[in-house]
Amino acid sequence: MKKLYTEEKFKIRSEKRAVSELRRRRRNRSKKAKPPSKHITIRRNLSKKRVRIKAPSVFSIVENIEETMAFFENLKRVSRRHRRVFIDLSRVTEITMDALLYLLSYFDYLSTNGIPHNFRGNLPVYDECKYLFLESGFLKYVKSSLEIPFKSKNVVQIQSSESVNPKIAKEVIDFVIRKLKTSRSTKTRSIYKILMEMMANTVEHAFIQVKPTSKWYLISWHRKKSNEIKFAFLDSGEGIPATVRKKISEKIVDFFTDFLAPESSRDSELIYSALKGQFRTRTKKGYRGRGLPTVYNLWQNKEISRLTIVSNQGYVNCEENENLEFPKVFTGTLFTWNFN
Amino acid sequence: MIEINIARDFTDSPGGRYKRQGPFSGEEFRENFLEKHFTDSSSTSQISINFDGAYGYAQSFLEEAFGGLARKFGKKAVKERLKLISTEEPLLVEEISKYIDGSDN
Repeated sequence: MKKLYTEEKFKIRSEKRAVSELRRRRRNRSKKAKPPSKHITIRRNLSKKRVRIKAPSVFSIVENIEETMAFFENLKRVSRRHRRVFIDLSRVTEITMDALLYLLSYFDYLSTNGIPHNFRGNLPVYDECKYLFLESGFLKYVKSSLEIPFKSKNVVQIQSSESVNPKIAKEVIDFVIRKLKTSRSTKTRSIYKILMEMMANTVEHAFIQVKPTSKWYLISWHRKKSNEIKFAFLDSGEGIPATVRKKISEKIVDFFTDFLAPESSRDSELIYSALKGQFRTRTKKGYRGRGLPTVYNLWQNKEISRLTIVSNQGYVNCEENENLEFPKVFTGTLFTWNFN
Repeated sequence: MIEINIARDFTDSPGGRYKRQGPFSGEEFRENFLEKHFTDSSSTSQISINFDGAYGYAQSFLEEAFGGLARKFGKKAVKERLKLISTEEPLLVEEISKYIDGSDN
């Protein structure tokens, strides 16, 4: 061996170098990225300039209206200022289809109104939520690097249109008959009737003025545990309270109420009165405006259950006899109900 | 007698009220299947309309088809000539009668 490597000076220098190298490696190890998370990202590269919006763990308008609407309000506020947004669904542990319909309707609103936007997002980590999301057909309406999953047998995937579409309603009824192992009956005809009325309402009545987006969104899915079909229908119009014709006396009350008691429960009451058909049709023609009462009658006759309506700042749960006002404004009208 | 079976002759999945809303509307059904039998005021033949076999009927479809017919040709003329058949959903007949009676409201 060369004399150089045996010298004490070299040995000390070499040892110091080794300790320094060890320290450097330990420092770098602690800074290394965590192991890749198990969720699937729709886009892998997250720009530092992209604003991240986190969805609540219970991502549901009907089950968790406060937090879910706060999320949407936040999304709207941020996307007005930032084009690049990341929607983080990774922490969602419970999800209902109504939230997905509303999210989709917001994307459509941005596109139709020519508002620049660049959204990215991820899927829930929790498997049950992830599969529900994939089964819903949401990915058909957005660009995704994921392979569009096969069509689920338990879901009639999200459908959307600007017109009354009997073919879709027919497909839904066939799905109901297949999953509940029943046949066409008065009850299935009632469901068909509701769907037609809701589609027609969206197209015809949902606007005070002509708007670029006048769409409805529909999804139905089979819940195996309870053997029932759940429906969510979203009308992306102005909403019942904004659309229906208020009685002149209520107009005056509204005027004073805005000054005196802005928290008064108005929207939920308007929804209820529209359901009861208290001559609230915008067209002012007596033979019109029967759509919403039809839905309410079916619930009263127990042909459908768990009817919930959310519109503007009103929330009505017919089953629980609950009507609430909430501070965030829900654009449009959401109907959810069950059928078995 | 003139016989019309909606599911067989028109569609088994009727639509909404107006043609502008989408296919198979009440307006379309009225114009293409009903009005021609009323335009000749001297015609008195009965018109039988069978509602069986369809997936269902929106109220707006029925009101526009039959209420609209009454608004155009008169309640009396319509009631005298129409014979409504619905074995699957008997209450439909009563419902349509109400639309005809209330057509001028």
